[in-house]
Order: sequence, then structure tokens, then C-alpha cells
Amino acid sequence: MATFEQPKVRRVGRWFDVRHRKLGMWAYAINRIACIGLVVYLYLHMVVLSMLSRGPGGWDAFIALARQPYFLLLDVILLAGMLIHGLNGLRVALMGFDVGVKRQKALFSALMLVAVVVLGAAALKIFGG
Amino acid sequence: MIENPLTQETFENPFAQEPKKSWTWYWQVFTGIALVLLLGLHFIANHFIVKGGLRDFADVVSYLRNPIILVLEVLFLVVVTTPCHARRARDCNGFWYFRSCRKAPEPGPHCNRCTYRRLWPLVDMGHHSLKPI
Repeated sequence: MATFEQPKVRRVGRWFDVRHRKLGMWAYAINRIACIGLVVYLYLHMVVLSMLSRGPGGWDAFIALARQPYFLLLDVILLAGMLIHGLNGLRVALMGFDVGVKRQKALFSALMLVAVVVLGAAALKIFGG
Repeated sequence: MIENPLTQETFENPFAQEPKKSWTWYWQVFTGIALVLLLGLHFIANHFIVKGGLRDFADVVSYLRNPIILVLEVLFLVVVTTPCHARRARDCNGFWYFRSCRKAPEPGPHCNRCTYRRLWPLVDMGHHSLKPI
């Protein structure tokens, strides 16, 4: 098959190549990008949490840094990844159980709209204090 | 006239080709839904109801002294990182997904096992980084 003859790098690139592709491929690529970002973040989060073992000094100094606006922006990006991946994951799960398959594009659009609304509200809360 | 076995539904839904769903699939759906709920609670408890959006050391200690919160946090950690009792002992939401990523472009049957071998040390590292806490 032609798929197996392609170089490895090109095959991996196909995951994220959304040129001339439909909404389903966009959903697929976005879901994987969010997934990789979240797994990387998970380990970053654990490393940060391990600072608790250094006592109040180490942790509170980090918290002071984390309250800076650019850190809060990272929080918003993280929340965007969680919302996109979580809500898109629900859509994939529903499809797996043959629920809403014929309306999966509309479902994706609706869930992403929910993600945008929740993200907007959360961003206001995060930056508003 | 020969009937086309690939119906329109089969084209639209790749999952329709699966004759039987595996336990790993059910586990991923379960952990996925649990993660959405637990992450929502985690965000509300840690960022939205706290003044300034982040807890200082004293706040974290008093927060974790609440047994309900401790159970929720441990449950969250279990769902996201620890092995499940599904068909394969090392399946969990995050890392199963990585395997799916690699499987998607059909890289070959060997790839699945390689992905597990390479990612498992990361799971182990995650557990070790939490041990001091």
C-alpha cells in the first residue's frame, strides 16, 4: 500500500496536515495537538507540585511568580487545551457508541462553541482575580 | 448486481467497522469522562474560589487536610496516570492516547509495543516526582 511506502516523517506529518481537509480532520488534528500538550503539561505540573516538599519558602516564591500576567496567560492556554480535548473526547466517545454519528460535525461545532464560551468566562475570572 | 458491503454508515463512522469494542475502549471513555468532571472540580477548587487564583503553602496544606478533597485529588491522579485493570495493564487515558496517535497513520504492528516501552518510564517518573508530597 502507498501508505507504507511513504517516508516516516511524511506519515507523521499527515496527522496535522489539514490542508484541503474537512472539519473531521481538523477535529482529529486539534485533538492530538491538545493531547500532546496536556501530557507534557501533566509532567510539568508534577514537577511544580514537588516543590511543595521544599516547604513554604520554595512554594510561596513560585506562587508569587505564577501570579504574573504571562503565567496566567499560560493558565488560559492550558484551560483551552483541556476544554478542546475534553469536549472533543466526549464527541469521539459518543461516536464510538454510535450516537450522533450523522451529526458529528454539528456536534463538534456546538462543543467548540461551548468551549469558547466557558474559556471566555474562565479567562475573565482568571485575570479578574 | 453485487451489493457494496461498505454502506454509507461504514464510510461515515470508522468505529462501525469494529465488531466488538475492547475493554480498553470502555476504560478510555470512562477515564475521559471522569477526567472532564475531576478537572472541572480541580479548577474550581484550586483556581476559581481562591483569592488570587492560586493557593499558598498554608492554603494547600489546609486544602489537602480535607478528606473529600484528598480523595478527589488521588482519584484524579489514579485516573490520569496509573495502570488500569483492563486488557493491558499499562493502559491509561493519557498514554493510551499517545499510542493511538502513533497507530493512526498505520506505522506497523511493532510500533504499539515500542510506544509503551518508551512512555512507561514517564509514568514511573511522574509517580516518583509525587512521592515527596
